Amino acid sequence: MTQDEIKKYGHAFEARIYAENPRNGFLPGAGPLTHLSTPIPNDCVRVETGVRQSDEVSVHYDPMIAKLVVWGVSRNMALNSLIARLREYHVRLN
Amino acid sequence: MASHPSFQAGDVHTGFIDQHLDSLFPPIEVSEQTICQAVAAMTVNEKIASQKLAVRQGRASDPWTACDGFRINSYHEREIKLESNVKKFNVKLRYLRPNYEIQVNDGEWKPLAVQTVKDSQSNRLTLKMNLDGVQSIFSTVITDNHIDIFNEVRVNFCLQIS
Repeated sequence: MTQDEIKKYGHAFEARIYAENPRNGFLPGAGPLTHLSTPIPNDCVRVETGVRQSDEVSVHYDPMIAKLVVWGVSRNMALNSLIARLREYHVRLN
Repeated sequence: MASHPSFQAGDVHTGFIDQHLDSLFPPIEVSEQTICQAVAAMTVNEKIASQKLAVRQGRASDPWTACDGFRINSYHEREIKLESNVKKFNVKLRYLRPNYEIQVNDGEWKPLAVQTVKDSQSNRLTLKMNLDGVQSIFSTVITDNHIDIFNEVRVNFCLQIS
């Protein structure tokens, strides 16, 4: 398949979920993920992650814990989906 | 960030966060509603914990194991101290069974009702609250003496029960 054969359809956003505190200079957090609940994946929502609840966020690596990818027919639909799905992404560290 | 007007308008660049830091992360104001949500979450969590304990002890049908504030010829009232972002809140809670009355920082007593929202696909606890006629739905996580309320922003409370 060549680049020209790939048809553009719809819009997508990717959000990166970090264990950081933006109100404290984006300092990275470390410790156990005492709670983790993610949006429910479907054809338009993808959660790319390697961590589960009770896993440890280590000081030795990047504190990114997941990528949330959403798709919508239009940019507005994708953006609204991103906002709604991010509100369903609940993380508690320590 | 995704809700920020400049982001929605597509005006995004690598210095976006630095440029809009103040409007992206304003100080978290803890409203009376959020304080009441934390207390409502605490009551639901106590009920769930007491039911689990009663089942483990084989006393699931025993009314004395229910953590529902039952008192003979009176209403149970308790004082709850919460702290969030170095601000302290004093809350009084009156058990009217099945609902409550609540008072925040010596303000007006208000009727409070709370119920769980079934969400079998997720491990989150979602609650529906009615505070003096105003409905809200929120998710909550309780670990030890910490209560997290997930609304537009996440608010963390530290709980001291007296």
